[in-house]
Amino acid sequence: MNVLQRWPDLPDPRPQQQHCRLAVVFSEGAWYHCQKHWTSRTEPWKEEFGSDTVAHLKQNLEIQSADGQAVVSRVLGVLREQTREALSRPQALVYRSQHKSASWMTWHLVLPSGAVAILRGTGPSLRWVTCYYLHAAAVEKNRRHRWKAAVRQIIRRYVPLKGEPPQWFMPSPQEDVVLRNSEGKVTGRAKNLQFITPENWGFEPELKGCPWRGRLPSWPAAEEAQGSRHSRSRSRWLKPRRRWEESADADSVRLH
Amino acid sequence: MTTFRSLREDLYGYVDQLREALADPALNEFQTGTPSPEAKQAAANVAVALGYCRVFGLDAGEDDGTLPPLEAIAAIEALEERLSELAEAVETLPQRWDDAPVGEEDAVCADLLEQRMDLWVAMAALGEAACEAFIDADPLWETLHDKLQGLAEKIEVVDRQMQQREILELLSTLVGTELLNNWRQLLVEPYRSFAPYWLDGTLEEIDEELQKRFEQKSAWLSRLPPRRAGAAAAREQAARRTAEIILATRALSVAAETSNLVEPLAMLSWRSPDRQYYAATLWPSCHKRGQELKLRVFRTQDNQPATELAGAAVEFAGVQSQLTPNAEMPYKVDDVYEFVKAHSPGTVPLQINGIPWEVEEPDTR
Repeated sequence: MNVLQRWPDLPDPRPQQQHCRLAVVFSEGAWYHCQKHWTSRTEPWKEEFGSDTVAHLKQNLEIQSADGQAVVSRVLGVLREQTREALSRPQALVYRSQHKSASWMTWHLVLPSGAVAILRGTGPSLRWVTCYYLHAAAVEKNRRHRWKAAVRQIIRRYVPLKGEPPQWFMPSPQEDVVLRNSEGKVTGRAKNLQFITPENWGFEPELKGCPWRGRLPSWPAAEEAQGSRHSRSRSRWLKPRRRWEESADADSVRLH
Repeated sequence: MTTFRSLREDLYGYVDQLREALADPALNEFQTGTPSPEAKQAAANVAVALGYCRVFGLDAGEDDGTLPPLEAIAAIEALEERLSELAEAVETLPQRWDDAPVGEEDAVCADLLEQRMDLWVAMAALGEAACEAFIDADPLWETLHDKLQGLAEKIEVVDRQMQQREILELLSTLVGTELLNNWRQLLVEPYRSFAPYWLDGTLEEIDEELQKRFEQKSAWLSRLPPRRAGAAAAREQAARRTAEIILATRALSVAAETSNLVEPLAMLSWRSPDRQYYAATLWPSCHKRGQELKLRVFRTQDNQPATELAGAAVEFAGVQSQLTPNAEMPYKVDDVYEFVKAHSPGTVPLQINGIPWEVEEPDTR
């Protein structure tokens, strides 16, 4: 395997691994896969790497050439810093996956750019698998909101609603999610789902059951690239709604 | 018409999404002149966010309202663009699914269905806007009505594309996530009673069918000769079972339904002598003449494509080729079938860079 870069000495955010360090390996194979995302017109990587770098990526430069090395250095430099930031904050979803006799930890990091990075490995050694923007984050034109869109979508996809009214609660370490192979066949279950740190994902540990309320603490690294664009919504932009309400008399209808 | 709606606290982040959409400064353009494409997209974001509040019965409080006709028309134009992107995403889904590393497949399918869901809920908000415009006898009502009709027709076309069996089978893998159940739980009347095809149980039925198909396949394979003890005997057994599985494939006529072709029979695999790599291919229960499949080579350690072997010389069942940059070797089912038939009851040899790899017990689960 050709290793393009090793990032040693990254913080391990797992509560049980305090003071430990992680090492991430970025291989040539991961580069070629990620290149499809970086050059996709639907993913806003230009804002992270710059237009010139993305134009170079589109040219499919030989990565061993001098120009290619410069592009590798630029792209991986940005990703390394964003990975460090996501692990330091931390903004990570970690779970154990199993296939046949092998077992490994899968990491979903929400980067400050709003992209999701997937890393995999055992112990403190992780391999970069891929990175991409979820559609909901990609269509958010304001960079500072992209990570919030990514967090919301991950919660909506992977955490089951429970109770009445239905709410999302922080999954317990015993809960698992189904894993399928490429034909959709159930091949195993992901175990020990850990949202690290719960507050950064919008969970509220001080409330009973640690429910999700979506109040995401600010993330300066995600918000520094652009100035504050707006803060107040304008309800008057919409017309007042004519509401058809159920009244005490079920057959009568009131117009507002 | 009366709608029975229970208003709930925003426990799901959709009202926040509406607030963020309403705070977009691009919306100011609607007060000052012709809206730019950016302003139209901002209006579409409001339509989508408002739509989620409607179909999930969420009280947006002070932020609640109805899209004015001009803004609704602009939102429709922006949604038409998104619809084109969705059509492209549907078309490329099988390829993107194949290319996605483990962990990304869910995202590929969920993204697509979320885009479709956005359109569905936006139609609720836009329908409401059209209704209001009609009641108010707004001069833009007719334009809005026609535009909305046009969008609905275009959505139908994409829906036909999405309801192809192959696409639905891929989308059915989302049954393993919480996405569909979560959406279903949040729907309020009348939307719950008119749930779209991705929420009416169709995907769950397909998922169940796929699981049953695998079970039937396993039952058929259990009738193959039992395994024998001992390393040498096990190797011989694995080779024979692999050859038997290859010969069990059924050739279909050219006009046969392509949906049959995705049904795999077994995962065939080979291991490198140093155990660092394995090669695998899905073998189908039936195939069309000339159908192409791929042999993929992975690292044992992390199950990722062994891209470091790109360019290596491969000889698989008599077919000579080279590994692609993704560590794959495309081959024709007929070629492998004919080789095994001619050498029956022989083995199914694989050599990479001249080194023979050992065939493993086929995975027929």
